Amino acid sequence: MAGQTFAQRILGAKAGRPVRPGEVVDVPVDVALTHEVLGPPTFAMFEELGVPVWDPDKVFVTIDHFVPAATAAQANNNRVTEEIVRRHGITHTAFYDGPSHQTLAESGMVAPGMVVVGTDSHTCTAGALGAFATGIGSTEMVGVLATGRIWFRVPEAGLVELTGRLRPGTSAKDIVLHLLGGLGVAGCRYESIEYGGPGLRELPMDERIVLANMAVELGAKVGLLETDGRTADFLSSAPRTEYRVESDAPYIRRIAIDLSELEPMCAKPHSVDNVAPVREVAGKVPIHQAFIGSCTGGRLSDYRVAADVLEGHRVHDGVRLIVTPASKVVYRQMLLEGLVERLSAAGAMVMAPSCGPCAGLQGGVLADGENVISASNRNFVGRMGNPGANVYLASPATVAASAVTGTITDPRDMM
Amino acid sequence: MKIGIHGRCWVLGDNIDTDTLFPGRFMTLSGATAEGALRGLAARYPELAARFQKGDAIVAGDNFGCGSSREYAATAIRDLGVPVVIARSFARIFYRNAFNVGLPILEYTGEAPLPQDGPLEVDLATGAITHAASGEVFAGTPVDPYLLELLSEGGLLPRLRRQLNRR
Ligand code: SF4
Repeated sequence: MAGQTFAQRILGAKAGRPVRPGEVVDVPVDVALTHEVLGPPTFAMFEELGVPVWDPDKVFVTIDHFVPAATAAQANNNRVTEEIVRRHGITHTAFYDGPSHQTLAESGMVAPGMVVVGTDSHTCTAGALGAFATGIGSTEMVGVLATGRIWFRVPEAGLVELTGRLRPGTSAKDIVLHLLGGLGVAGCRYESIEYGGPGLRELPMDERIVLANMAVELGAKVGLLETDGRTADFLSSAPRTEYRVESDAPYIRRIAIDLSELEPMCAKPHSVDNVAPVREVAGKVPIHQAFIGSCTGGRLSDYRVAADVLEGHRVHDGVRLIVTPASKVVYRQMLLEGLVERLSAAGAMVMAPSCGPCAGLQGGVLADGENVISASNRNFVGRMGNPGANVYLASPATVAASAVTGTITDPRDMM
Repeated sequence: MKIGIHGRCWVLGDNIDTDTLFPGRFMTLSGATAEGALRGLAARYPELAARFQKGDAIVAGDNFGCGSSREYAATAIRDLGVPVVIARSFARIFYRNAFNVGLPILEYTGEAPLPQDGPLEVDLATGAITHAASGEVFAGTPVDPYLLELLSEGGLLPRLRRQLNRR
């Protein structure tokens, strides 16, 4: 038999038979994720059915967007979420711990080969751990909560093969922005985007997670990565299945990227595929706020590189540098490594682990006409809370460099 | 699963987004209303909005239902009494939502434009669209048997309720 894509292998194993792209399978769910924003309306619908949750040990509920609550309404909503968890005997939660996708990855609930669904579009992040993970609607989640099953059309898949090594000043964020520049926001609609190759296996988990996390920005249903010993170490368990690309699988698109050729990239307002090399934009855009955080850019390796870029510098007058670690685990490790001290010494505001300014729901909303450079994942109009602001997306290194100069800056100029 | 189109087919273009199908401002706490869909479509298709009749079908181009994931877009079209939406392609989330709310949809793969004067018969299982008057048959993508069953049960929530009652 010809090779299979990761998506085929996972869904086929779940369905108990070989599957082809285009066919529909009904599969069991291993982890169902929801958070305080869509959890309460989903559970309100679910409770009308009057049945128990199919498996309360497989549900993961987070409070991460309204953290710490900025208004009484947010606080009340968070309390409703806590009550839901108690009422249904749900055992896995991450309350006030950071964005759900990072805390889920750290929770130990996800393993290669699993099916993970969540009421959040960045649920695809768990694809970095080899799980078929995707965002679903509230009604579909009601079905999952009641039955533990969901249907999928087996997606076509595209392959991204990475070779070489990233040069200093570039990171996984630049890989995704490079792809967005070529493929566009709908470039991988309904597809599984699958990453493999020696270049991928060189990347630490922190970086790999970014590739899966931003699969949805490319329009993909899932982003799946090869798994190996690093994946196993991250999960502190042997992966149940090692996923390696089968090159004779029916990939509809193959893209090869030599990582050593990449340069720092940024996405200009107001679309993630409005991409340009940082060099082209450098010096032309004054920055008012710089943000290093979110489920895309708030991990340890992000803060290490940011601290290195900021070393011996101060954040520019008139720039607010906001840091929200992606989890409490990350935050504590930052303390141990002296990163909080180094970032603070440069003038950063290190805030609580949360979604932070990414969704524009609390801490760090922008003023009219301001420009922000952000290590997060979306820049459409209004994304960070003010439709009158402009969001530029870039790597943590580029964000840190720009925070120092007060204008968009290539981090290689400061290293 | 065979669906008869007895009314007319309204032909729309490419990239009809959920904001056109169901503008956010018509969302109410109680959910979607068919009325909201008509008022939304009125902005781009005033004739449709004025003359639409229950039983009329929608025929569209590529990427139907793109934009935000709002399920209401599919619900509202279903509640208008549209028996089937035929399009060149559907946006992923709309595709899922349509089957989950029990709205029949079919991808049309034929070259020639579909005749607008019904009646047409749409066989979702084979993808065939038959023009009654001329007997001409137009090709579409067969709908997966799993999804046909989901449609025949009225969508996800009716199916769930039935399953739960049987327990
Ligand atoms: S950090 Fe941003 S993208 Fe990630 S879950 Fe929170 S709001 Fe969504």
